[in-house]
Amino acid sequence: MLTRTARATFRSVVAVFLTAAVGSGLPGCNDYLTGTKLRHNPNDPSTAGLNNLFTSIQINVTTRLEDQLARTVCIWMQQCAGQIPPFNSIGEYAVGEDDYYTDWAGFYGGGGLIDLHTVESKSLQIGDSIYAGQAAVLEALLIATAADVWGDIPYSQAGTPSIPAPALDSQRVVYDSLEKKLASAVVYLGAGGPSNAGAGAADLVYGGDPVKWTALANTLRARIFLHMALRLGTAAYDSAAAAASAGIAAGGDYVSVNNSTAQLSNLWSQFSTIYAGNIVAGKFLVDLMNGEPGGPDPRLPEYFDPNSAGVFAGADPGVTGGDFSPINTEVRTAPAFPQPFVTYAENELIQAEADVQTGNPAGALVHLNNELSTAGAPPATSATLQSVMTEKYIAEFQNIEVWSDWRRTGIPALVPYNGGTIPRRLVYPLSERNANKKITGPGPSRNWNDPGP
Amino acid sequence: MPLFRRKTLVAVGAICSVAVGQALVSRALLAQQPVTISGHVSSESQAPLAAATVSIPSLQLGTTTREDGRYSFTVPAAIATGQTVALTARALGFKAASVDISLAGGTVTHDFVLTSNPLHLGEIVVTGEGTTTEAQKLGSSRSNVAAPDIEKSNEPNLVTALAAKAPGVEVNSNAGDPGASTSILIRGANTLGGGGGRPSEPLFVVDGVPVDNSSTTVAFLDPQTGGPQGGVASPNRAIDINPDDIESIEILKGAAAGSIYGARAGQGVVLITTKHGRAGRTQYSLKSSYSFDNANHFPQLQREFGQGDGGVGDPCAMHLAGLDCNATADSYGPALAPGTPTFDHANEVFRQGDASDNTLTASGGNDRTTFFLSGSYLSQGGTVIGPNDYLKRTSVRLTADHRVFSNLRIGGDVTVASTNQGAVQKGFNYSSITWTSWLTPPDFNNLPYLDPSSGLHRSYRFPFPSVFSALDTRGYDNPFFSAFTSISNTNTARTFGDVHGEWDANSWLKLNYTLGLDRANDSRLQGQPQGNSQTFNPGGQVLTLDLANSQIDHNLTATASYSLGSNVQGTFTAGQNLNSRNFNETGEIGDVLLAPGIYSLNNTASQRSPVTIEEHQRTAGYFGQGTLDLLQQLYLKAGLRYDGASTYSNGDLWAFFPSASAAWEFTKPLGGHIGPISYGKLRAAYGEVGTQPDPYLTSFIYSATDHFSDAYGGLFLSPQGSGGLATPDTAIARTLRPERTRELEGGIDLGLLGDRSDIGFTLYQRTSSDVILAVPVAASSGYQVQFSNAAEIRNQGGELTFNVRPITGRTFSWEVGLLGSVNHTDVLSLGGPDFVPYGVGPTGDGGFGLAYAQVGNSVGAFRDYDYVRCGRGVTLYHGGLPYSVDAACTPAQRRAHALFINDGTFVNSQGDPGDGAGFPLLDPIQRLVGNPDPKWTGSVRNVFKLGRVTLSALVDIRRGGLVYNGTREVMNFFGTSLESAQRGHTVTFGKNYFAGPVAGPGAGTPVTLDQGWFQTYYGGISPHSIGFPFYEDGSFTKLREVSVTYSVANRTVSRLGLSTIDLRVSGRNLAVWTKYAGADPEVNTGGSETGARGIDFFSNPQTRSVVLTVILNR
Repeated sequence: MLTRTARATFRSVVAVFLTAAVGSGLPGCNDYLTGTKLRHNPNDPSTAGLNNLFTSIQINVTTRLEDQLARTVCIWMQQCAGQIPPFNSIGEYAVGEDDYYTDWAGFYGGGGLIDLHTVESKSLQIGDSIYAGQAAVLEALLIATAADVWGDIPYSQAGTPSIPAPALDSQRVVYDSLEKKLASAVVYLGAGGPSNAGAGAADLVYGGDPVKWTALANTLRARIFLHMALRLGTAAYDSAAAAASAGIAAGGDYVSVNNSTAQLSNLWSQFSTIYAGNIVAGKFLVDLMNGEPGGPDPRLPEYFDPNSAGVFAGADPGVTGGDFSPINTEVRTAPAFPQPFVTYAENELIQAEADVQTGNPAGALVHLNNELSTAGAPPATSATLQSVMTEKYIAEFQNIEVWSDWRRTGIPALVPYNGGTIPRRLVYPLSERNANKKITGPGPSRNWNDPGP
Repeated sequence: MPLFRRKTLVAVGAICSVAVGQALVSRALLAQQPVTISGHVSSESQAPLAAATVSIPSLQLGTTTREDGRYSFTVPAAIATGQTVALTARALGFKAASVDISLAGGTVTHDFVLTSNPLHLGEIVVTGEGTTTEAQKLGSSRSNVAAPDIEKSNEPNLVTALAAKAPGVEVNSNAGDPGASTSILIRGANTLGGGGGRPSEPLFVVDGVPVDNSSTTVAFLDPQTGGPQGGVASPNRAIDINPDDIESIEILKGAAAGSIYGARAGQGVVLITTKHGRAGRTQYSLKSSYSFDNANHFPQLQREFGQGDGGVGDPCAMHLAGLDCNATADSYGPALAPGTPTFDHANEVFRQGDASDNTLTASGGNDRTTFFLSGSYLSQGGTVIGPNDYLKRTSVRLTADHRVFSNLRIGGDVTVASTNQGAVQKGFNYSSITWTSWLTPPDFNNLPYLDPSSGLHRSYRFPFPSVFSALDTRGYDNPFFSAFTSISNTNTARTFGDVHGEWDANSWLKLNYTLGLDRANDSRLQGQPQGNSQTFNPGGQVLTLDLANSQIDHNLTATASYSLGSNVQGTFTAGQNLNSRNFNETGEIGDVLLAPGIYSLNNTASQRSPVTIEEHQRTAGYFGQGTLDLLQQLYLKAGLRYDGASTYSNGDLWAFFPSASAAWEFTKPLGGHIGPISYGKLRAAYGEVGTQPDPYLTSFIYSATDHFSDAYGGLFLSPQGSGGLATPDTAIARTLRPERTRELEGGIDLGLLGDRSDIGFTLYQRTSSDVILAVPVAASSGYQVQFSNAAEIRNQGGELTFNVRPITGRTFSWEVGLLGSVNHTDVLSLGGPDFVPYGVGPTGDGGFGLAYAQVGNSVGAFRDYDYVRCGRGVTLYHGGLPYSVDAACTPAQRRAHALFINDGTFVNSQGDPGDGAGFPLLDPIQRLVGNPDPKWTGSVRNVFKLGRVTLSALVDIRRGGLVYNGTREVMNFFGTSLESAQRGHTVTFGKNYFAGPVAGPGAGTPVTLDQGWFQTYYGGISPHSIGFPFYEDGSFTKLREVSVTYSVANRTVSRLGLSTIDLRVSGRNLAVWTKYAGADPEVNTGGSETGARGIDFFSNPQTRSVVLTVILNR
């Protein structure tokens, strides 16, 4: 039927197809689809060493303690005041239910719990218990902060991708397990031997010094005991004092990793550069420091700059647009400013508070004056809960811990905006609830450790 | 294997010898003399038809008619053997006519009179991957846009030119900036971005070769510039195509039509056919146009109150606070005394833009070789003052086709374009032209923008700069300073083209091969001056970004035709397609300019680590398609594509995409017509198409560049530079298949009253499953999202075309065309969550925290905050005790969602007391607002011809769809909006303020509006603030195009050596009717970089244009 020419043509067609197919890959012969740079992302590594992860964790810890959470606490505690959306609204307690999702996620994701798990298990595998101890301390710092803010949080099942919807652990359980983790970290950090090298230079804050890490662990234990004191009673103050006695010494502050490079510059600095004027001095703190009996607090010009009239002036919540002092541009918002997170000052004031609460005002005064002299402030003549906590409110400027202290003691006595209510915890972020049906609602209005009226 | 290879070589050799042999045979049969064929082509109304094709298909010889309808071409002696051949005339919109002529005797003359063919019967339709069919055989609906419609729109961006020209195709031009992107959405959104946040945009194919139409922003490089909602308006890459080079555009909307493109056709395919030369006299055309463009709409600003707060002027603004002071950002100062000069900040930075566009084309050729040549230069100056708002495009194009033998043709197309865009800052960024001018207090004069004494940048928040302030932020820039000193350029060198061959192996078998290449190098430079307010470093910044994009496409098809008598005919096509795409980008940022004004990395004090990204992906496809034509009235088609892609997971490297369609000309068996129905066709089609995942979604990595970003935009710490690596937020996909869209479509095409009218109607339902999304996982698990094939989206809709030609006289004709379409998008499932953020890509938060895919609603639905209302189960607190709002509302109030008015004793669940007694309270629960999808769209086209004058008008209508007017929300906060001038007014909610039902103990209490009301409760910056009151109806009616063309063809014109001179005056967007209070309901600040739509956050306004065009034809 077919002519000769047609047959020849048919052969040719077959030939052309075969040529093309052999040249370029048939189904089943998948090289064309699976070659170099096609299946594996060529832009990033698929493995990371302990040091790589540890460094990231420290940077993430800095972000968590220095970002929107810290700004919000600063505003709610009236150390700062918001002027431009959303910061003015934060001062009026108008926050959305997902506004702190990034912060929440940061505790658990990359640089947070998921990477801490890797560092802790891998360092123990290679027999480096100092490394494991350092990671455990960072885990306690990070997770205790989350528990302070949200109360009951996912922890025992969290940071483990194989558990897609981790359940909540009670705040009590979280605090207890972190305190135990810190206690064992102290043991780990004391280990000797050639395999116990620790993070070394990958540790951007302490340079790997196990002694400093041990002190930090103890101060954090003391902090956790204090946070539970309203529930556990006086014994908690004793435990706190005992832990703090081996806590951070002068010069051993755990601070942020900030330096002047763009990637690591202090978030308050980044903020004040980009969002200049969005947050200014809070009237309550400025007035408190201005009104000290012995004259203005020497830290006032360190915290704030004078306004255009040359005086220190802060804004009340809800008040915008006046001639207010910015946060000090040379110190507190310098790119390399090492933001204090857990300090000698806090350690002394923890002991002062514990002494006051256990009926030892003389002991408290010693610790209070230790702290005051380091701060360059005149010594006090007596120590009361009021004076200790007021000093802590000043000393811990921009620190999230101020919010916990205020909830525990009601000191200082802040007047809420326009008859409103200062929030006592953050709601569980909507995005977490949307994906984790184990968390059924925004949560209670107060955390377990925050009883009372 | 070696044996096999040898056989292949032999076989390939055989192709050549057969072909050469055939050619020799033809030459051997030489005959007498060449034959010249000439004549005239006209319409029934005796109007000459220009650009009609007259050809002898069997010899593949032919030409096109001139402006006067005449044609002439010569059959070379070599093939004129005295045989009888069919001579065919075709013209767009007319029925083809054929006559048998005898190729003997030196000359043949034949005049054609063509009858009009509004239904395009017999017209060849390009259907993709080298296949074609005839219009009447299409089983799916057809949307074709022809060259005259593209030309008449005068748009530099061919995507913009498609607006209102095809039903079911939503075209949105995102901003008025020159070169700003235009988005195109076909039959609704049906993807969430393939995992990369890509918008739901179709595949663009030029002459059979896929080309890039992406839109890239520089924002990803610098998280501080705010993502697509800030920065500058970036172009979509179709901007590199000169619209004057386009012959026609075929839009494959449905899955049945797109199925031949498999996993790349999920959002439709835009098939562009470019102009090619035709044998005959060389034709020249010189088009020169000049347009005047003006921003078309501005927000309304108050001119009553000056800079300050609480009714008090700011000491810095009043020059009482010395140099370098920071003044308030607010315009809540004192009422301005009568006579105080105020300034029109709404439009002071805008000017009349202009554009000149010159295009020269030449085309022609002989029986063996044809060519088309074009050169074009477009220079557009935008509507923002200063030298940095422009678009320049130089495009040269050559296409040539050559007949090697009678059965072998080869050809090539190449376009080289250089597109340079300069853009001004936009949107949510403190150098944004609109942000800074529309927030300037009315009493502040933005001019001069340099302080007379220091010579440095002065702005309303930094009014008195000293000489020491060169490197300090200004809070917000002065808009003039930003317009004149900040630069953002894209310089793109684009080359695309192909070589192709077509071989008629014999009478029934045809082979097509196309090798295509699309390559672009886009070099970007962004410079922020010293003393700017936007960047991380107010000392200035230089950002460079080099993008290299390439795509190689190889396509081979073989089509066999068969015929078992005239009643059973058909074709079978088999083909292979291989496609490789590569993408590289390198970006660098330098901070702090050493010397002012020089934007070079060399001139910066410090440079950040460069960012490099490369991406490679390949696809391989094999396809087959069979057609069966029965009884010359029933046309069946079935196709199958087998698609492999490097981005699928290992176990799922291949996927099938079937399609089938049927068309029945039901009037044929009934003698050609039924009553007034002169032609009727029923059609039905089913098809499947896919969407490929983005590359590397299954590849685990640690990242050094992910930042532990702050909840508030722009701040970050990253391990890069410190030796850190961290787990990214995104978990990899375990398995990944293509997204799959299954679509059933049916419709009818009717010709009425003997071609006087025609109607096309189509209904479709398309369901996309396996839609890839970053499924939110509990962040407490360590990841925030994980990619998977989890979502399902359904689109249903209808499309209508209706054309009437009431008058079709020789000297006067009138034609009316209506298009209408409805589409309803419904997200059926998101694999668990009720909603996920949408429009969020690797470039940042393109959805602005407002756009979500929402189950039960649409893709891109808005979620935001409202006031406390009845019927929503809200709990308030009263004296520390919970209080149910609904318990205090009547059933009617609950149904109507009445506004709950506080008596001053309630706080919301966050403790917020609101603005006091008589005011509403904020509801801190984010709620669904609605979506930006129009309820229906339509257009009305009118064309009048009177002699040589043509008048045409196109009205574009969009009804429904929300637009978020964030501009108004922010201006309320800062006190520059007109409505914020109501401060101090005493009003009552529900009576003379905020119409609608009210409830609660405070209802009816008069209140005095104050700054606090506008700053926290009726203004702010979403997504953190009250948003509901700022979603407005985005309906509009636009006089999209209107033009008058006069075509001169007289003796004077001939004496100039020309055939015609066309003179045209046209207008674009001359009138817009809308209730929308912002700049334009069509703007979208995120542009085509994001799928999110309907977000107007300080976009630069759209333009209205008047264009004068002169076309010289020879």
